[in-house]
Amino acid sequence: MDGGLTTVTRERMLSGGSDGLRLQEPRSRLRADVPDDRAIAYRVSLREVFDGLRALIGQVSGLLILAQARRGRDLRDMPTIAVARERWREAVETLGRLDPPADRAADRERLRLAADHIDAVLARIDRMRGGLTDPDIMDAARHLTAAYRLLQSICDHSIGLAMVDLRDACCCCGRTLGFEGAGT
Amino acid sequence: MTQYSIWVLEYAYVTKFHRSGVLYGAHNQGYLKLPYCYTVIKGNGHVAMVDVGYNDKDYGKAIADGLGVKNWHSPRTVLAEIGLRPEDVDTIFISHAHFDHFGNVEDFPRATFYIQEREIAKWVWAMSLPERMRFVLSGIDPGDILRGVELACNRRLVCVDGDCEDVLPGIDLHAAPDTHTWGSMWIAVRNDGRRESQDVWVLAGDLAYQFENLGDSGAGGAPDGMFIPVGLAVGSQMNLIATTEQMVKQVGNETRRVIPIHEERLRDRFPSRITDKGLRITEICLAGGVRSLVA
Ligand SMILES: [Zn+2]
Repeated sequence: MDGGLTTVTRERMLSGGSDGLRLQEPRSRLRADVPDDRAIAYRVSLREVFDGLRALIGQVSGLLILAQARRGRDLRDMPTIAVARERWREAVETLGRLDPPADRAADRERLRLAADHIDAVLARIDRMRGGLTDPDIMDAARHLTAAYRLLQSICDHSIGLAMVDLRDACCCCGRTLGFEGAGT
Repeated sequence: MTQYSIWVLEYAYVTKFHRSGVLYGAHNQGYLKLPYCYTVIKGNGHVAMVDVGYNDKDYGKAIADGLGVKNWHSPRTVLAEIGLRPEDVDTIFISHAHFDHFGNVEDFPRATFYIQEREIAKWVWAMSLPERMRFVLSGIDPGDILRGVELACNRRLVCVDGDCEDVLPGIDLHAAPDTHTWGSMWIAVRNDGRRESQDVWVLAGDLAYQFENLGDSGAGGAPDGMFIPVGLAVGSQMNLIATTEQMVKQVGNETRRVIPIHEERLRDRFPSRITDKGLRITEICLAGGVRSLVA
């Protein structure tokens, strides 16, 4: 789990970009199970992109349901669309800085594809006039499903990449201490 | 005559759930078994359900490994125990959008789903919050919301705005805003079909996990203790308690008629049996002329 990462490491990664990474020396090899700083920094950024895109899929999906339920309303008026666009921009920016280790090389491409799918939906919402039609919504849903499947394909629960966020459910307090339990 | 039969069907369980998750403030009071269930309401020519559980194939292993959920079985297997198939279900009330309640819509190809519009709208808002506020997102799978889009386009998702009477004859939906979730709802079955019913059952969703939430230490009559909110909420304790008051009032203070589906001790109060898969079926009531499926 990377829950124990210090803010310092995270900020160094975010502000320092690849330079920040280069400055970091590999950790002692005495403990092979402890990832080196570069791997840790990668995980932080990877999860940032992953969580951002994952939340966007849920957010935009919900907007589509509301668009359908409140037929004819212009989604562009909803403030959450602006937030979605901003979050997408942030995710793509972090994605551009991702520097995956060899064994995770596929992550970046999949995330890029997922971001493209979400972009297509946001662009469609931007373009629409007078509300989305059912075919518009179904097409948007297909893009979001494709994005969801791409994220699913890089899920790794050992580093917190999961489609359902259970890290902070009340259950997880117990889990951290090694107990069982599940949020309901 | 009694219109509907009601069964609570266990589809998985957690053997060791911390008690403070169930009862607000019950710190250091150990663990209990927490069944994961959905409810079938059958009668009047309908097969309805409250909630659909989650789908094991997408992330079941992660949930099992990470959270200790055990013995998951599909709706096809679980419903077969009461002689039903998922395609027989025509109406589904989603008490709230947590993965273990809303996580398996695709297994019910013919059903129309009812959910509070507020539940969707507020999750949309919550998903736009900064990452550091993600506490409020726990238990939500964006994929469930995404599957809701397809349902909506196929006119199989009804977004309800507040209370709604007689969604099916004698079945009412009651909104419980800003409680366990932003748009939770509870379901009342007026089983004699009368407006001033003497035979009401309330299906509480996660507005009550266990008897103690209802001020009921086990006797099942009038509440004999104070209401205790559930341990997990994005709304307020006050709203949870006010909702509990409404639910208990609806059943004329006879708290045994409010059904908390995460309550293992339903077996002490209603006829039940364990299937060969090790899951419990609890028979809350039977419609006129219907034979027991647990005897
Ligand atoms: Zn819940």
